[in-house]
Amino acid sequence: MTAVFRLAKGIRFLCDLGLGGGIIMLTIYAVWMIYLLLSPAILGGTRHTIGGILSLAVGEAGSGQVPPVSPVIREVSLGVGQSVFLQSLPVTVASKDNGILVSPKISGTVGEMLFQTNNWRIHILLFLGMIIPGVLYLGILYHIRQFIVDAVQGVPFALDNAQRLKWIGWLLLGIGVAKPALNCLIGFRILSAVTVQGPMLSPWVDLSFVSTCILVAIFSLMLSVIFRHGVELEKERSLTV
Amino acid sequence: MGIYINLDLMLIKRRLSLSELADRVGITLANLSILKTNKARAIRFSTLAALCRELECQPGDLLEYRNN
Repeated sequence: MTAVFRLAKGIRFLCDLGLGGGIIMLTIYAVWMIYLLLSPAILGGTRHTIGGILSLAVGEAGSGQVPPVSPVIREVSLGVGQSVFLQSLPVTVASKDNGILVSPKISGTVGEMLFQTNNWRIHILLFLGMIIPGVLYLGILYHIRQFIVDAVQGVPFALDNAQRLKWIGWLLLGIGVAKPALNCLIGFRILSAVTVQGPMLSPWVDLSFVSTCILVAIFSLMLSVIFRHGVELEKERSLTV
Repeated sequence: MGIYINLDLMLIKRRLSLSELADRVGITLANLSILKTNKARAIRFSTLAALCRELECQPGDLLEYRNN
């Protein structure tokens, strides 16, 4: 039992660390973003430029304006006697206005596009893309922490814990949906502001992340139902004389 | 509607206190209190047998079914 308690206390410490660090980081980020968004209106001057990296899925079809591109095969050395072949696609991305500057680095079927923008709508989307999943992660950490505190005190089968597991499930489902949805929104917004010559580009959705989130969320919701049943059994046991 | 325990009546008849009965039967005062206040969901045969032994009665004297 001592080993279990030590493990539980270790996890609780990690949760505390994550919660404290997360709250500080999110607060700094929020203050910084609010300053960037509001300072041109209050203090005057030009709007700030914010950079980011956008993951893109690269299609084979071209835009129709340019001839089909032929991929360039590059050999990248990983170590002694090991190497992989990377397929690079030449792509030209031009900004339609001066609001969004892009520098694409496309390779294989998933590419990264570095961008800088002073468009306030994209600033807000980037802000939400960081804050919403961050808050949901913090919510999950908080519920895990409280769950462990109850478990260490010797009352794991409590109605509160069943409720916490349910919350963890819904929050995970929220992250699995909100994070890719916001990434897609940012991606479509940026792609609509640029002209792409070469392969067709679209925002990339990490399906393995989404499916993992959904599976763990279902598991957590299922566990909450089992815990609720456990609470009933525990009550029955304590009221059996 | 349910099963009720007539522990109060038996305790008065036998002139026993709740803590004394708890000591004799070998269960905690808290558990006996649960039984007395009809909050119990179940009772073990061993507990019922010990109660009947100490109160010198039959299970029917302790348990009562009320349709209310």
